[in-house]
Amino acid sequence: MRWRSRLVWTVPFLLFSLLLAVPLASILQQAFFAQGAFSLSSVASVLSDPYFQQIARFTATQALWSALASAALGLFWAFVLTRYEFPFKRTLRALTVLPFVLPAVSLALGFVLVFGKQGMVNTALMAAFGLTDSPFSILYSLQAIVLAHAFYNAPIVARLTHAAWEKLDPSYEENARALGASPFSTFLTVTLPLLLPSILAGTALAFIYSFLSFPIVLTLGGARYATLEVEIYIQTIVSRDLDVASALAFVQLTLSLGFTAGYLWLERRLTRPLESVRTRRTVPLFRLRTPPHRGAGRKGFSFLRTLRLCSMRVLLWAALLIAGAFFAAPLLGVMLSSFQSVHGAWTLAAYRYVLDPTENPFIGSSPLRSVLDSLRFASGAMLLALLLGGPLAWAIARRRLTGVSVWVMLPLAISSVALGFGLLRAFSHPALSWLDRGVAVVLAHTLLALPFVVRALASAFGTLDPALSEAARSLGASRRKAFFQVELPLLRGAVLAGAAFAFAISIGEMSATSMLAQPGLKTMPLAIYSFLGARQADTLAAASAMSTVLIAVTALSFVLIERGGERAI
Amino acid sequence: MASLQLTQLGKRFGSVHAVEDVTLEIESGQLLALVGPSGCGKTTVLRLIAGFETPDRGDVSLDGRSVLETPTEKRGVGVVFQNYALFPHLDVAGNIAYGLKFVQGAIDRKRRVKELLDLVGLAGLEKRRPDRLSAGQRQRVALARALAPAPQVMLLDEPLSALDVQLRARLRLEIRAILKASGTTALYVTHDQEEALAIADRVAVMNAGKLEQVDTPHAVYHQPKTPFVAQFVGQGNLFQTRVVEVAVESLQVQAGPARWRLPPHPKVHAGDLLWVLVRPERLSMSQGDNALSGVLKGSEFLGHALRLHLSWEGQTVLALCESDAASVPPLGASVMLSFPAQAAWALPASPSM
Repeated sequence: MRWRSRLVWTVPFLLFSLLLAVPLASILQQAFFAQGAFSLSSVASVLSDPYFQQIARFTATQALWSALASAALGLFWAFVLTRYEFPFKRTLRALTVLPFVLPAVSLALGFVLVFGKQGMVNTALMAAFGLTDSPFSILYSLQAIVLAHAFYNAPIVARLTHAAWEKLDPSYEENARALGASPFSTFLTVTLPLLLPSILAGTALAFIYSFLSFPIVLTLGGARYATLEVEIYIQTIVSRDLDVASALAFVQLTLSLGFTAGYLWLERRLTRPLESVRTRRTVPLFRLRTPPHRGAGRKGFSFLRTLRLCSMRVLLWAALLIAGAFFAAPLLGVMLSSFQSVHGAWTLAAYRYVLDPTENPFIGSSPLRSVLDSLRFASGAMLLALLLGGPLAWAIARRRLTGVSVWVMLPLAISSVALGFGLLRAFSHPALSWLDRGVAVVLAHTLLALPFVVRALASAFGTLDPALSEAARSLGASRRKAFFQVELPLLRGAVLAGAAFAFAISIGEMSATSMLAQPGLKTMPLAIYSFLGARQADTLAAASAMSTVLIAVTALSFVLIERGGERAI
Repeated sequence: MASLQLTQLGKRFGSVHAVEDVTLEIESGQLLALVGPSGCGKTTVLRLIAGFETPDRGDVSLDGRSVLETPTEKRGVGVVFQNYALFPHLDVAGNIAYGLKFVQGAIDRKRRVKELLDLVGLAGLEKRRPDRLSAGQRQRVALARALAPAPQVMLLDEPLSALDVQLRARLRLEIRAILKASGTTALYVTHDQEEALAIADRVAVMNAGKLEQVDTPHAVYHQPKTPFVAQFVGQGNLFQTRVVEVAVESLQVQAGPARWRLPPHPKVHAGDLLWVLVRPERLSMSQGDNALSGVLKGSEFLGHALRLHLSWEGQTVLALCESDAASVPPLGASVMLSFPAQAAWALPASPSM
């Protein structure tokens, strides 16, 4: 009885560990045993090469700037979410899940379409002012990368900070005010220190994700800016120097694991339990007059004060509009351009192009096939991730196996490109080379989706009262019946959310997939990247059409995730 | 209906003995309250009976047949959980009918659900979801759900602890009436000694994993077997005394500076240590045979009575007096209390005390 219920989670656990260990071992083997004997020479030569040192420096620099930009933007967003009440707030708050499911290559495409040299902003400016040259150029620069990363990671900072802020009992601040602190110094001496753990945690995550970001740097960095992730890809796919690639992958793995360990340490050091008794009041954002209780302490009409409050509102509105445009423009640009011909007429030509079953020279496969491949892989990864993740989540929630819960989060911490590299090498081994390459893709996606599936399910399992199952059993239901009749119906939302996560992550995944691609095997994100690289009107439109499909899938999964509880992250 | 027997039941969690050597019998149709401070192992006993936990030693049997090998769903136990654990995806009728699906033989489920709704006084709420019910209504649904399959034994785990005081007092009467009407053998776990005394046919007092005493409510209150029971059940003044003189018709003890005369006790000899329990309501502000004089540290007006806190020989003595007493002595005053000999209950101090 005991060992059987243990088997339920140990088998998925071992499978998961094996799935993770094989590619990692493969990287280590190539990095240290390429010539049959143990040798440090590959890693040593990479570490001492000024070229790679420069790349590592740039990787860290852009990650740092990206993290800071994300923190600034995220803090602002968190403030607005916590302080104000406005229509669609729930939806907007839920949008913070977007970075995890929105394909980065679609976003990069949006940046090119909107902010690029021939992009919408430049075209509009040229038309408006009769310019002959594009006045606005930010792509293929550090700024472009930082901007895109901020778009991606600010929601993470916002999410963590807002969650802590919302729970922060206002009594702390009221106490400070009663003791004589001004609103501003209350914020500095009470609010900020209490929120700091969350802000730092979010910023650290933004740093790690920016450090490991691949599609955005590949697309927006151009030829001049490469990070370690991009360099591993170039060394493997373009230069075909597996020794250098594996050494880089090893370095990247070490760094990313180190960062994550540091993050976890920081999180544990900084979290302090806070009693939260009262909830925070919010202020409607749409009312321009000051709420009556604010001015109650003062007699008469203070012009300066009214002006200050009004200008605060106006500033806030302006900032919100700019931020909104910044977040919405790339996505709207993508969708718009998928329905437009070069001359601006409405057309569905791009979608016909995407459903074309004939071989396309730019992607080395037919567009239709890449769509179907993506759907196949996503379905496979979703099923596998649910099958592995369900029992693991159950074990984590019910058996309180914290070690396991950290272990299954590992795919979040390691470089996806390195993971892809390891799988590529493992699948070139005679023992596995007979397998379809698609299997490797599905396995990679399963690994990358598993942390999200496990978290979504584990938190649902955790909130599910064990007494429900016991009640069913005391009423005569067997263990199986109790699970299927009572627990599963209550978990339906979480299962759907987990499935949506897995599907969306798989269908948008580009980093590991780009390492495993081969002629005839291109998923949608890879096809989008190739189309984007071709720089022709019809391929750009096709890239937009595919991206629109991906965005639609993302939106659907987003709805499911929001409904099933968004505690997964 | 069945009788329930626990024989030398033991359960450890790691190094903690949650339940140790618990032997207990509940006769068919009887309602037994298992009471003790939190963490004393009473809920573990209930979970062992239900089959949610497996004992390390000892046996659980129904009508003399061991059920240790029987899985929960076949034991025929009805459980009412502390938080009710109503199925949130089913309505009231669905919750009550859930257990009927597994009952062997033909039954009219609709009628049975209706019967139970009538029994717990919730007719008309069939289609309500649990989250649209008040706490008291949820409690009744939980009771009805557990009773529906006509279990051999009902197990109630602190069923009232989530409710406010007034509702609690009313519902415990109702629960007793419902359980008695159904004639089910029941174990009622609670940490509230007053609730235990009010609801049960018999009370089992548990402390640190062991049973201290199993008796009628009256005996548990008036004739506690151990100092723990004396102090846990009701409020009590427990005095440590030494036996001075043993006579046929009485017993003399030395309590601090005072000398008291108590009813005879068969097992004591001169020189023995003896615990003497006097309930606060038996102490009165008067001169008498058995007297003690303490310093008044506080007084509480309770409406129906006046509670005095006295300091006497380094311990606090509680006395419950008439609330219309002409004058309350000022704080710090010396107050003389006395009690009749029959009001004292003597507990021989065991060597371990």
